[in-house]
Amino acid sequence: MRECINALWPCAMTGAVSCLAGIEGMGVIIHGSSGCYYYPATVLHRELHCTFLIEQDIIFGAAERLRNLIGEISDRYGSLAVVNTCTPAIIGDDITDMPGCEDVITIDSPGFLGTYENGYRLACESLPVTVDRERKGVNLDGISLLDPFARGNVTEAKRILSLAEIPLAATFSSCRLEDLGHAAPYTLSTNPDLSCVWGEPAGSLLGIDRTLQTISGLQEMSGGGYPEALQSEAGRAEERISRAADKFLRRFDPPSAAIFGEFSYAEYACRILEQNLDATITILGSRNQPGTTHFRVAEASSLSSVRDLLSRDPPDLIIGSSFEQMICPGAAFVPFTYPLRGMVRLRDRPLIGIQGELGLMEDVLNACMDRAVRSEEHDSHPDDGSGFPE
Amino acid sequence: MAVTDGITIIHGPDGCVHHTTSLLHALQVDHDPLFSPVILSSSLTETEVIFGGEEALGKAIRNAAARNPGLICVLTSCVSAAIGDDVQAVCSSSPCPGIIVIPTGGFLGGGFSDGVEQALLALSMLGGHDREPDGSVTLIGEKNLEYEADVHYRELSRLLSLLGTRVRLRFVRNVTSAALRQLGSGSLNIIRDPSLHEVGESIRRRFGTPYIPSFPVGFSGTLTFLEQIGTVLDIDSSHAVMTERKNQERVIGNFRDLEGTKVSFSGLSPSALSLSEEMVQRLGLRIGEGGVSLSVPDPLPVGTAGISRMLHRWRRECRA
Repeated sequence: MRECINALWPCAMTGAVSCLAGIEGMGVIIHGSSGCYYYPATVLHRELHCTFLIEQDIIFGAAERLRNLIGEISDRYGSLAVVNTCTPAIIGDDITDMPGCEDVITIDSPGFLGTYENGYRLACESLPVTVDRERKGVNLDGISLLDPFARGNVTEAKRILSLAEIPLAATFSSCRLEDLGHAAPYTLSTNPDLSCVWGEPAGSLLGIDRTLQTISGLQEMSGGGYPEALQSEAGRAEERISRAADKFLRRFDPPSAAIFGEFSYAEYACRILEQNLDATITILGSRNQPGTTHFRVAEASSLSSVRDLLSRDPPDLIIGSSFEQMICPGAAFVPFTYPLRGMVRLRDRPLIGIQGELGLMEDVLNACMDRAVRSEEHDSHPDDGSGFPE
Repeated sequence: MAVTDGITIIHGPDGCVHHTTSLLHALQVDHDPLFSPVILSSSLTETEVIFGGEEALGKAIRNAAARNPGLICVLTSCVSAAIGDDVQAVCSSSPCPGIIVIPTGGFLGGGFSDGVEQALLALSMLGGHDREPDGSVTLIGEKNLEYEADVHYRELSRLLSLLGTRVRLRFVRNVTSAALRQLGSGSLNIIRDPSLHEVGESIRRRFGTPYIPSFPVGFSGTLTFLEQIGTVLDIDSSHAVMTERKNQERVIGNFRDLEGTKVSFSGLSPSALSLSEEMVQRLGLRIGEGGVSLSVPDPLPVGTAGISRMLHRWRRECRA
């Protein structure tokens, strides 16, 4: 059995709630205790409802409490979803066929079922989606409230699609309830770890190269024109990255980097760093089940595993969460995945598309230069603790 | 989890451990001492829900013991309570001695406060009569998830220093398992708030240590607090009270510009209501409809320094 000390990634219940709470007009009920409610309510910053089960409800049945709550709030929403937590799932409360609650979506996603991604995908499959074969445009998937890049990714995807004159249909999971009724036949991915079952997969927007491939492919399918504006913007962005990376490498060695996050995001960051900075990737630490990659990869979903990975091969640069930052305070740090504590982040930042790659490289270069300059200053004045220039 | 050389095992799914880890991490980055509690999960999954989780708990205990902690505590979750694992039996039959089982049972064991009380009572059993009461103070049940916990501690230390005494044990915040054994050696226990009355009573019955049921609240409450400590520890508190009264006059003077401001409060608890009434009277505020809507923090501000910080927030509201 693996040893799990200080688990770093949320459970399936939180994943399901995160997916559902992104849909405007959907009321989300957590069927469980205050403890199960408190966590997603705190980190997702959305209005959530809860049955607030107590011990008595488990003995005498919790269905009545759920039915009452549904009755109280149903007028406020176009649709309601109930996410089951561990204890009602264990005692076998059947919440699927309660009279008066036939239209309520129920998701059996207790925490013991698995990780955040399992719950998110399960909830996504349960959304009331109708794929409209005649609908022009594409859907977007992989948007999750826990992701620090979620809002920025939606904005960047809209901008890119607008440049290519492709309409955006449904966004999983950040759109209005009514948009789900007219989903397009094709779906673009922003985060393959959270891909959905709705629409034919039409490519990914992770990275400039993949964004161009994906958009070109879509244009070919629809018989539209080649997206010249996008192509030229991408070319300029790649030049800017190349110039900045080249300047960095004239003065500094390529960084060794440890990258933590959901697998697809982390793998993308590894690829970008290798390609642009000839960086050595010491480890790709995946919060979820890792996929296939040529980078050295390990599951990194507990503090103990992260600590082991970082101490085995200490990197110059960490791309990850504030957990990794706390463990390795001397390394350059780029905020990349939940949680990002101890810092203020107000601006929407994308990870996908052209702006996403520019942003990631900007953060990486600035973090590495700051660290390298600090280190050079320390080497020149090892005993000078005054903090003032001479 | 506030025992620095201890390991806590949560007998439940990894997600439950993450909830706690995430909360503590959020607080950690806001505080100076970066103490990382070790919280081990027994990693219950669908398989253990069907076949039982006792074996998983046994493995988690062995993993914990391999790290040679000063203390191992096992907390039950709602999953382990619902599937009916005999946690006490697993811990008793374990080769590791002295495992403390805290039967929280997630929400099946009651609410948040019940869990805190259970944990404090269980850990109090480690206390002994290592030495005679030495005039020092023990803080009982500081709220470890409270953003201002260490600020409250500093305020209490300041007030106690006016009486020439000090806190020797924080039961339980950032202490070693060895320090917990000094529980019976303090001369006075100060309980965080009255909800932990049963813990104060239990320790009094066991060691004979008197207790004050709450951290000080309000200007007059802070002065009374000093007098109470003086009485219990047989210290003349008149000088300390006079010094603190002057300090309070200074704080009130800092907020003289608020005098006459029309304010309103809503939905206050009885203790918050009494604090707001004192502030209205001492600062010369006017209560009235349409006044600036002010709130009283929950938990209530501690000591004179806590009130001062609250008044800064009130002034911000009045200026908005």
